[in-house]
Amino acid sequence: MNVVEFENVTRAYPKKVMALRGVTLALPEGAVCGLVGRNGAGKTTLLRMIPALLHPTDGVVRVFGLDPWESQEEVKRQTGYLSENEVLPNTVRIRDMTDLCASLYPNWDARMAGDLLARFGLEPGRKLGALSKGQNRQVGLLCAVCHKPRLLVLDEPAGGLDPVARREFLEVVINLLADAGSTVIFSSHILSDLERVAQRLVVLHEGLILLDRPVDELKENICRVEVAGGIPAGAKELLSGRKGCFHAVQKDGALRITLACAPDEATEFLKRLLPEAPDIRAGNAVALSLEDIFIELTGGRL
Amino acid sequence: MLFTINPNDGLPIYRQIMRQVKHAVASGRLAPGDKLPSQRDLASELVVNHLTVKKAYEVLEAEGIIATERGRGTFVAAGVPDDLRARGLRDIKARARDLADAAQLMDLDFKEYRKLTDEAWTERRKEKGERT
Repeated sequence: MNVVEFENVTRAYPKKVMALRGVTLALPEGAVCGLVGRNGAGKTTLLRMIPALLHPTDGVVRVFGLDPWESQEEVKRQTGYLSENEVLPNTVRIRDMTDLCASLYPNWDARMAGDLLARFGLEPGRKLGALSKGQNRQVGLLCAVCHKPRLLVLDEPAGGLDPVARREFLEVVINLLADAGSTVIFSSHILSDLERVAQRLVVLHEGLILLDRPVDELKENICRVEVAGGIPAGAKELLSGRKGCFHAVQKDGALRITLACAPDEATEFLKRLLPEAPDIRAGNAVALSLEDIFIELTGGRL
Repeated sequence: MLFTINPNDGLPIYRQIMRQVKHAVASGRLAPGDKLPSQRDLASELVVNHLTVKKAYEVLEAEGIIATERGRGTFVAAGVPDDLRARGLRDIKARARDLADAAQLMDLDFKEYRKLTDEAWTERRKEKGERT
């Protein structure tokens, strides 16, 4: 059974802004999914529907096979949720938060919570209003993971955190994965962080899923190629917009293209698109980082 | 051995882990029977999903480079595969060339150069012999 299911989900905001325009997505048990997209792509809208914080305008959302609104208690009890925009009450102490969580979640692991408080250097007696942004987020993370949730939903959880805090954050999530085998959906703009955790990448663009693929497969099947000589006339125009070619730029007699193939298949692949293309030397086809891939996929489309 | 990964690299993380193990085996830094870190330990050392390490180990095992013994851990397999040995030899050849370049740059003659390499050979052999 899928832990999370979206079926043709749409969401309209006032003034007819369509945040989601028909999203279908399924996360099986244990899936670790990274959700990326430009600002305004619909990531937060999508994630907020999981713990019943937002209704879809149309379509079906199921969590553990249940309607999250009809079965709120059952869904929330097994779900950890943390968002960048989450505001915790200022006057409450850390201890009050952890006590509250302990009473809400039957699986609450007080020892894990104690360990994390010590690791983050958080004094249980301090008020949330007196904490830094990073410390606030650490309290939020602690509340989201210490009941060993079956499903963890993280919406840009490390946004605005420094690199050390981000790394600690990832460590906590990674340990939870190894211990509890939780299903995770995780949005972030920091693709290098995402790659450490996610096995699957979903790219949301203007309210639609542009791509949904295993991270490894994605990285192994895209490359950037430089062709310096023997370029057939009109190559850029012939390649632009073709399936399998993301991007073509021609400048000073050199052609740079991004192809949907592994670097060592570049010659063969290019000749299929453009039979008169020259052979590509091994060093001239390079694999791309996830960040470059993301820019290739979404950057040119605005 | 110490592993590092770089998410800005075009290679998927599991391939980066595989590459390092292969390189260490080809160069002799990892010898048959040497123990590799557990999947869990390596995942937390590198701060990556343990399933990524699992995938790297599974492919390495399928290629015959490492072997997992239930309850004991993962070890470098006996008998380094031929292609890895060939790669190791290429690596040594490149380093020998560098060494020759350095010696010629210093105007050493062949006898002086041979003296240095012979000494290094004997010294390392002796050190290893005494350790085991």
